[in-house]
Amino acid sequence: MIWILLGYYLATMSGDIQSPYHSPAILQDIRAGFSQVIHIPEQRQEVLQAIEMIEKKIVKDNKRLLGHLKRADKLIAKGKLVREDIEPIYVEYKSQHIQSIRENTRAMLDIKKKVSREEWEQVFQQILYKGI
Amino acid sequence: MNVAASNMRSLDRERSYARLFLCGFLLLILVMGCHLVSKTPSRDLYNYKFMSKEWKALVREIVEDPDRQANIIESSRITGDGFTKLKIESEEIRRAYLRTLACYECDLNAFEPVLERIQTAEETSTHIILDLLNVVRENTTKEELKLLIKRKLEP
Repeated sequence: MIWILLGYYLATMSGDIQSPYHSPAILQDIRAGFSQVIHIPEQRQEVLQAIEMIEKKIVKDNKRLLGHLKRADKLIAKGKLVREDIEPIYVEYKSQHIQSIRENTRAMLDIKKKVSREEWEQVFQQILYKGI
Repeated sequence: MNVAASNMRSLDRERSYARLFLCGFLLLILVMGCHLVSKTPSRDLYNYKFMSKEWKALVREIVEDPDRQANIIESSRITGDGFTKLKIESEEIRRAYLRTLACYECDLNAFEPVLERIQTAEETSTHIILDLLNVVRENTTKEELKLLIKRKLEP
């Protein structure tokens, strides 16, 4: 019982894996920004679709990352609260999180090819000005 | 004829009561579900709880030995401070990430320093959680630990 409670306790501590640096929320702001600044419908459609794809990928990645944390929590719930057992799972989680950010950032940077410098800077100036 | 009509009306009434009951039951489940979800503690809540007076009072109430109490309280303070710093760091990383993304000339290499900061922040987060749990486990009996965790989970 103690281990189940402890597992739940850890699960609630590590359950929030929404990356603050690269979350769908940021992408939604970027999407809203580009939908305002791009006036050519075909170009706008192409950019918005690309952003939507990244959003979906982030959500998918987050689910996979949560699986790692749940795996660690299950170990703990079974009473295996040994640092040597849990740490490798967290290390794997961390490296996959970084890989996910890297891949999704690369996909974001590819959008630069579809927009002008002015459009790009206008969108991000708005976002930075908002002070996210 | 009248008896048949009366029976039909009675049947209709029963059906509408059954529907009403079913709707009420589903509504109750929905409300209970929402209540449970709203009770799910977030990591932020825990971060601040470790620094709260309530947590310290709980440790003093449940853990019998003053030295063991002091160890847990000190470790909680360190954990709370660690999470506060991490939260500030995470805000800064977020801004750094967006600033780099805003830079039109920057390529993926420009994100490396930000990625390193994220990596370090995550390592720190894992260590402070594991460290606190170790201290809590080492300084409590089975019963105390059970009570502490159970009471701590209460909203």
